[in-house]
Amino acid sequence: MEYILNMEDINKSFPGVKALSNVSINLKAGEVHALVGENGAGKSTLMKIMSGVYQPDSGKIEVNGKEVKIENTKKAQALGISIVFQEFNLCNDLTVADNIFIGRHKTRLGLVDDKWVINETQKIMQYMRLDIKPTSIVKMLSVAEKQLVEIAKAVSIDAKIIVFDEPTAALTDNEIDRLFEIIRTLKESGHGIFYISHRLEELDKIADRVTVLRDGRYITTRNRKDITKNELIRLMVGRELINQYPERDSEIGDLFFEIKEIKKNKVFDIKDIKVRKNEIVGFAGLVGAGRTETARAIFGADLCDVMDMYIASKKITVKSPLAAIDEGIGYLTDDRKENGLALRLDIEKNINMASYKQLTRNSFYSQHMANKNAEKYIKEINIKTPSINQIALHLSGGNQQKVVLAKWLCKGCKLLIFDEPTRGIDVGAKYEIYKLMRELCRQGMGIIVISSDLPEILGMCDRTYIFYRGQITGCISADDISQEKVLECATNVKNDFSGRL
Amino acid sequence: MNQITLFYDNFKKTPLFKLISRLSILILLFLIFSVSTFNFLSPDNLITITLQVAIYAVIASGMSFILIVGATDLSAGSIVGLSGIICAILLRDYGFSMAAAILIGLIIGILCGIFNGITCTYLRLLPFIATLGTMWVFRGLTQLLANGQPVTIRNENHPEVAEIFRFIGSGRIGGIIPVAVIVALLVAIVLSIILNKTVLGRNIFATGSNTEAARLSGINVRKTTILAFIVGGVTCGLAGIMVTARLTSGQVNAGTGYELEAIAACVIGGVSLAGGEGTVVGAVIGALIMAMLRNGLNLNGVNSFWQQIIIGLILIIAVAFDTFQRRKTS
Repeated sequence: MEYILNMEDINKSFPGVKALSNVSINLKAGEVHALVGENGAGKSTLMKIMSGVYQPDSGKIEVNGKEVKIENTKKAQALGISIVFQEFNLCNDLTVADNIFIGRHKTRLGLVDDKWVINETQKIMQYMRLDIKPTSIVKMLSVAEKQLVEIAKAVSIDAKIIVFDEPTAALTDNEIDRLFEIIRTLKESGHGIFYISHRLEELDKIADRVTVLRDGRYITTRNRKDITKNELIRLMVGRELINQYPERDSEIGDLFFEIKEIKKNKVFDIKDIKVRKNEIVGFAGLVGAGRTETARAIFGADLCDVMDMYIASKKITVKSPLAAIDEGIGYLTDDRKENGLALRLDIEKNINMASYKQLTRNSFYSQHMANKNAEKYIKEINIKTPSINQIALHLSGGNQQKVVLAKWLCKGCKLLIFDEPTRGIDVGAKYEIYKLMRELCRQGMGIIVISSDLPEILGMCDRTYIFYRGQITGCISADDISQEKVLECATNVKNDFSGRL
Repeated sequence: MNQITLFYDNFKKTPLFKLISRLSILILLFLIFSVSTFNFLSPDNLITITLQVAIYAVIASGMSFILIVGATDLSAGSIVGLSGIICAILLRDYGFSMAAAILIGLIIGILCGIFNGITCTYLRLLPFIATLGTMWVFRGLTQLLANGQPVTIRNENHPEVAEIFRFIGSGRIGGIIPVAVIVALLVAIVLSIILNKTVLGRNIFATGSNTEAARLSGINVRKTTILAFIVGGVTCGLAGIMVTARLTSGQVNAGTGYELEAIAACVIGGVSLAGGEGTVVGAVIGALIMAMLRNGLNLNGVNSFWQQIIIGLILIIAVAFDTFQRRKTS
C-alpha cells in the first residue's frame, strides 16, 4: 500500500525540551488516522512540522513517495497538506468568505471577484452542509461556527491530507456529529485525515488506525478495532512513577472554603468543591476542560454568572482580584511570564506588588520596609538570587515561581490557587516547589493545584476533582487515585452522559 | 420581537452600522448648524468647508490604510512639508515642468512611505516610534533643503507655473466646484476601490486583523505593511503639492500637525487604531465632521480655544461609544 504521507525518524527540540525523538508516522489515502497522547506528548508539534510551521531538526518526510521539505505553510498547502489548528487562526474583522479565500482571492482586472469568492464559499458550505452565510463577519459567529469556518478553509484548499487538531473541543454533540459526517465524506473521496483528540470515545466513531505518542516518543500504531480503550489509556500514561514528591506531614483540618456553585454560561458549571485547612486539592482534566477558567472566576479575574462561595461558612462575593485578595485568595497564574510577573521589574517590586499599600509610612512608600519584606521572603522560601534588585526576567523558572508565591504569602493569603505550578521548571526546582506547598499546608493554608501533569496530581493532592467540558466528572481521594481513573473521568469514558449536563 | 432585537444586536457589530452612525452625526451637525447659524447654508460657506476639508481628507484617506494594517504614521505632516518644498524648489530654481515636479512630489511621498514601512517591518520598530523618528527626519530635511526660508513662486518670474498652481490650489471648475475638492474626491474613490476591491485591500484588512493568521495563510505581511505605508506616503505627497499650490509657495512648516488631524478624522470616522477595521469613506466623513464643526463654531463666534476643547471631546466620545458598544455585545 502506497502512503500519501510518510514521516520517518522525526526529531525536534525546543530550548530545554526534546519535543519529538525519532517519531515515525504514515497516512494512507481514504483513512482516518488518530493520534493520541497526553498533553505535551508531541502531537501538536508533529502536526506543526507537517504543516510547515516548525522545521524538524532531522528526519525524512515523503509526500506521495517523493521526499519533500516543507519550509512554510504555503509550501504545505501546495503539497496538499492542510491543517485545522487548535487555536483559531481567523481574521475576526473579515467576512467568512474572505477568511476562507484569504491569500487566494480570484481577481478580474485587478479587482477582487467578490461574486466568485462568495459563490465558491457557498459551494463549500453546501458540500459541508453548513448554514453559515459567506458574508457574515467572523467575529459575530459563535465559537463552534468559527471552528467550522476553520475546517471549511482547510477543505477549500483541496488538500489531500487534512489534519484536525482537537476539532471537537468547542463543538456541541450535534455539531460533532456533523463534523464526523464531513470527515466521512472527505474520507470517501480519497482524502487522508489525521485526527488528534483527547476524547477517546470519539475514536470509535471515526478512526481507522491509532498511533500513540508519549513524552515525544512513538509508542505504537494499531488498527482501531484491535485495541481497547483501557489499553489505549495504559499506553498513553505508560511511564513509571519515581517518588519525587515529599510526604504529607500534617493532618487535614476543618472545612474552610466551599463552592456550592460557580457558573459561567456555556463555559463551565462547577458544583460542590470543598477545600479544608492543611489540604491540597487538585483540579485535573484536559486542556480546555475549564479548570483555568474556573480558577480565574474564583479569583475574580473574569466575571461569572453564578457565584455561591463560602469562606469559613461566610458567603463571599468576589467581583475583582482585589476583592479576592481581601478575602485571602491568591492565584498563581499558569503563565508566569505573561500575567504572573512584571518581568522587567526587580524581585523586590514583584514580591511587594500586592502589598504596596501596607508598605507605607506616613502615607509615603517606605523602600526600607519594602526591602526588609522582600529579604524576609527571599530567605524564608529560599529564592536563589544575588540581590533583591535582580530583574525577574533573569531568574530561573523555579525561582520565578517562588517570587510569585512570595507575593501572595506576604499578602497573608489563606487559599492559594496554583495553576500549572511546575510547567517549564526542571526536576530539582519542582521538588522545592512541592516542599513549599507542603510547608504552606502545615501552616494551615488550603491549596488548589491545577495541573495537567498527572504524576504531580497523584503525588501531591489529597483529593482531586476531575474536569470534563466545564463539569466535574469525578472526585477521587488520594488513597483511591490512579492515572487510569483520572483519565477515565477526564475523557469521560466511563460516564454515559457524554458531556451533556 | 426577539428576532428583531437579535438582528439589531448583530447589525450593531457590523462596519456598516459604524459608518451609518458617523454619517448620522454628520447630518445631525449639518441640520443643527443649518437651523442655528445664519450664513451656514450659503453656497459660499459650503464650498469653503469642502475646500478646507479637501487636504485633510486626502491625508486621512491614506492614513486609513496605515491604521487598518495595524500601524500608525506620525510623519504624515512632515511628508506633506517635504514633498511640497521639493516641488516648489524644482519649479522655482531648476525649471522643471509642472508635470515633472508633481510626479517627483508624489515619488517623494512613495519613498518616505517605503522608508517608514521598512523601519516598521524589517527593522521591527514599533510604528509609533519609527514614524516619530521620521517625523523629525523629514521635517529637518525640508528645512535643510529650503534653508529655513519659504520657497515662493512669483508671478513675474514664473507666470505659467503660478497660473497652474492657482488653478490647482484655489481654482474652480465652472466657477463653482474647487479643483482641490475634485482631487480629494478622486483620491477617496480610488483608495476606496483599492481597499475594498483588490487583493491588496483584503491583505491589509487581514494583516491588521490578525497578523499571525494572515502570515499562516500565506500572505506576505511585511510587503502588505510597506504597501500600506506607500499609499499613505503618496497621499501625503499629493497633499504637499496641494498645499504648495494653494499658497503658490512652499513653506517649511507646511503640514505641521496634519498627521494628528488625519488620525483624529480616521478615528472619528470609525477606523480602528488596533487595525483590521475601517473605511476610506469613514475617514472622509470624519474629516468632514471636524471641518464642519470648526466652521459652524466659527460662524457662531465660538473662540478657537473652545473649538479645540469641543473637538477633543467629540473624539473621546466617538471612541468611547465604540468601545462601549463592543463591550456590551461581547
